[in-house]
Amino acid sequence: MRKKLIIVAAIGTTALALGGCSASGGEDPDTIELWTSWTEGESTAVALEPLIEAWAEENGYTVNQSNFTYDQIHEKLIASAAGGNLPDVVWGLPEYVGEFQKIGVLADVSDAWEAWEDASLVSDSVKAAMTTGGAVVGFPYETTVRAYLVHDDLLAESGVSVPETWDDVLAVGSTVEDATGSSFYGLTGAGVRQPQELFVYLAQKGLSIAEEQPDGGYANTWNDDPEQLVKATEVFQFYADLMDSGAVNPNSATYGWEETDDNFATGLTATFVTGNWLGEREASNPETMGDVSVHAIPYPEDGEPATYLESKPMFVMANSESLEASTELAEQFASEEWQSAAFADRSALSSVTTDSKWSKGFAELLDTGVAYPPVSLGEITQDMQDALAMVLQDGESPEAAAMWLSDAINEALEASGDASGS
Amino acid sequence: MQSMRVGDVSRTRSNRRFTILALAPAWLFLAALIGYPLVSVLTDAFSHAHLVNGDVGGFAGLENFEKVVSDPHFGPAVRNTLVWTVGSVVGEFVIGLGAAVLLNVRVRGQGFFRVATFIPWLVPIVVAGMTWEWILNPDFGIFNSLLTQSGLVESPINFLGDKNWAMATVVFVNIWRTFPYYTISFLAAMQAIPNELYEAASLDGAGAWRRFWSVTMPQLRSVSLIIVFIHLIWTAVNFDFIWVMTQGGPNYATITLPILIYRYSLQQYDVGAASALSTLMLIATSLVFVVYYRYRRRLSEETVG
Amino acid sequence: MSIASRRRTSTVITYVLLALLAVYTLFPFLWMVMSALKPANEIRARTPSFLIAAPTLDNFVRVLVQHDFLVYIRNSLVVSLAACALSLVISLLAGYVFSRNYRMKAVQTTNFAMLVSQMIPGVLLLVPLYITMRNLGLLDSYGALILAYTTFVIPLSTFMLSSAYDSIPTSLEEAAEIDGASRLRTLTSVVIPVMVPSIVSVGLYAFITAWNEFMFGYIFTSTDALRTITPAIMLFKGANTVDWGGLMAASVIAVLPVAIIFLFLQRYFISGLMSGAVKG
Repeated sequence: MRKKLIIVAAIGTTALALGGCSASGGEDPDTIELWTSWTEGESTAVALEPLIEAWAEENGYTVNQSNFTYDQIHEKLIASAAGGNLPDVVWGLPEYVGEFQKIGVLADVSDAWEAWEDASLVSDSVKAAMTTGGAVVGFPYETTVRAYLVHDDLLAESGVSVPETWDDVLAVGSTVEDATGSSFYGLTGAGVRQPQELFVYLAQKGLSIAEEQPDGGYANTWNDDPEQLVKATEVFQFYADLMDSGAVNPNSATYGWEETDDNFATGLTATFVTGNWLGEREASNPETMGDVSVHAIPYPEDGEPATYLESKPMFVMANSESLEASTELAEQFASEEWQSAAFADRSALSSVTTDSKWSKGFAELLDTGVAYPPVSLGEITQDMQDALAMVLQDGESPEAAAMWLSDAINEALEASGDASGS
Repeated sequence: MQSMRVGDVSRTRSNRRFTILALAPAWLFLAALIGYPLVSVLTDAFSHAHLVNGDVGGFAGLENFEKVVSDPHFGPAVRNTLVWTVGSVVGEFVIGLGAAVLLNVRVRGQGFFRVATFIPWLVPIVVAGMTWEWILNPDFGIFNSLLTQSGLVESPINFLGDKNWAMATVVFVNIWRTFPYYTISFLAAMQAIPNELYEAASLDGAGAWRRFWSVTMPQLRSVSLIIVFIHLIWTAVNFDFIWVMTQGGPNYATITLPILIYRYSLQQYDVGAASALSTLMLIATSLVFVVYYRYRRRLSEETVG
Repeated sequence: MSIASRRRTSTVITYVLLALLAVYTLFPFLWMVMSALKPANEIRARTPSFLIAAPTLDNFVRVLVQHDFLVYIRNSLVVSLAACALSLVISLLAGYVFSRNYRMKAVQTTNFAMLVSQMIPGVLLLVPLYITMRNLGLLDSYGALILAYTTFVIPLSTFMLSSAYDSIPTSLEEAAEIDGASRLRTLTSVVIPVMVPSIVSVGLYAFITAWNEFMFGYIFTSTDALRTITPAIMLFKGANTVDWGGLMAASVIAVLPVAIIFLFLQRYFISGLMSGAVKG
């Protein structure tokens, strides 16, 4: 008897579930499916939700907004690109630009950009970060650069002044650790932020991981140009020297941003290159975050200042049934009104800033921002992590790592169809 | 076999019909959901296939297999997969069985101890991975802090960041999460052991230890066989545990075949190579199946005759 | 040594071992609970500690009130219960013939097919399953998840139940057959009742697998109303920051309902309760 009940219940539930409505936003011209990655109840969400609702009402659209982590967005987009049924508007990361363009899901919004009234407030480097193959494919909804954060008290306690160059950093060595017990300098050895960091140190030496060639393809040229190879080697040498000098916590060779940010916020690290989201840690770590000042990232004597520009693009999907409205919604996110309301301290618009050091101190570094080239990065960023692991964990020579990375990047470009001549 | 009786023919026929009907629902589900992926893995393995770009195609012969086998990470990944799989399953079996025996003893608070044992299995893998990563961190992890405070170690151990420790650590965490399932299954199987068997053994003067080896263990053979073999397969193809904790690092110390498959397919979009590697794994696990099936038959024969 | 003192010694040893086991299994979970009860300024502190200066329920309130976790729990419950019931029905049938008719070709083929189905890494199922669900018109419905999870657990459920059938002598069925009962009737009224512990353990396995599944939960559904609990927990991990308090509180909330279910079901594993029913 009980068995029968269970069977009936199972069949009933399944029938109900199978009969459940199946909404597909990408295929309904009056509905815009929007994938975002904000945190429920945080200020960004609180500011944006009414704005989206008002916009939808005004324009007679239904906006179906759902939140996912960026990893989830990435995998969902791949699945729906292969299987159809794409959304309309998606929050992306800079790492996705080249890759999504390659699989042909991104709408070209160049015309909308040209007609966009706030376009003049966006720097060329941000626009370049939204551009691939000559087409603009996104609107910058969230833009930050990295800065060199310093715990002033820890440096004062050790009698060390804020370093400006690589040599200054290495000269400090273990002085701070000996005086305070905190590591002096921080680096990220794993995860997404590691290649971003390496990319900046390379840029300070005037190097890029892949440069555009006359035929529109990309190539890494270190191995073709002895001068470039020397510079690339010096970058890896800097990492090795950091470890040897005692300025860095040896464990960070395998740390991702979760650990390194925490170590700075709790004062286990005295100085670290990171983003302005560390401002949130003033609330959670009040005793240790009161003495933070913002500086430019230390650079090599023979190089120039540079920082990582992370301008996140808002993508519109090419096959959207409501292409025009979706483009307009994406543009709204980057508009002065929405940016001031939700991204006041992390906006690409020169007119939107706040007075706090977490906004102003970072905005001053925008001009030196560098962004990834618009190629498929999945394999390349993996190679960058592998090359650094060679130096930091296997004790390989910096030159060998630089040479290996150059070849590995060219192989990856070849495989993804980004290479010159392909 | 029994001797033939009148009506045996119709019985065989109805028996066959009943078998087909009983298997039909399972077939329906498997065919609907697993059939297509399986066919596409086997065909993609011999084709040029791109995850998203449908224009890439064509017969590739053994090119994908060549690419996979000549990958410098292939050898270490095979070795790591073996260590990860065998290490995990052996540990899970031993701890799972020991816990089942303990939890079958009638003591006060048995319910509490059973729930406590069961808890790791209820923690979603992604959460378990992140939590362990935090606990084991050398700078702010509670485990290292306890180790150094108690003087057991001099300086914190970077469990997941030191290539000498990383593999052992992920295996340890995997055992922690998975052994409760063995325990539950063994506990359930122990209920079917008739008390008479124990009583008879006691009358023969067998102690607790002898009773366990001569009565309990033989009765758990069938369940053990199934759990061990299915977990060998599951652990071999498991991706998320290592991915959450080390992403195959530090510097490839914990790279396994499923992580390579993930990289081929979601980083390079090379479904051909990913499928070729999966096909190789399929062949290897199918060999394991042959061994399993032999034993399984023997056990069924003992029961049904 | 007298029998009484020997019994005492063995009880003490049992408790010591049980305590060690509990420490091993509960340590990380306790860390999750403690962290969930910590205010933001204590959670990722420089020196970790099991002590909380100012315990708070804020994280739990935030998770349940701001984040709709009650909806996610409901979704997970619907999907997991349906997948559990459905897979039990299917594998009770299949497992029976696996045990009794293991010589038949159809059984051997099914056995092999089920094992092979377990050998495909999840990442290779991603796109094909997505396309299948789309063709069935099930994207963005409970159906997609129920269908997928049921399929994932059928193989092991079938194997486990067939092993349980193995331990039941055929004499029971033969007696019922002589009385003229049909095969299905015999199965449901004579055989299944003596397999309750195994059914409970297999049902739990199916339920937990569905409850904890992570990837397909967010691949097949795109609306908040259908979100299940595991993908929802991950939302506390942002691109550059992690809300550890929310993450830990949400994880504890995800574990508790299942732990309570188990507490009620574990009495089915009490030795001696069932063994009287099976006469060899």
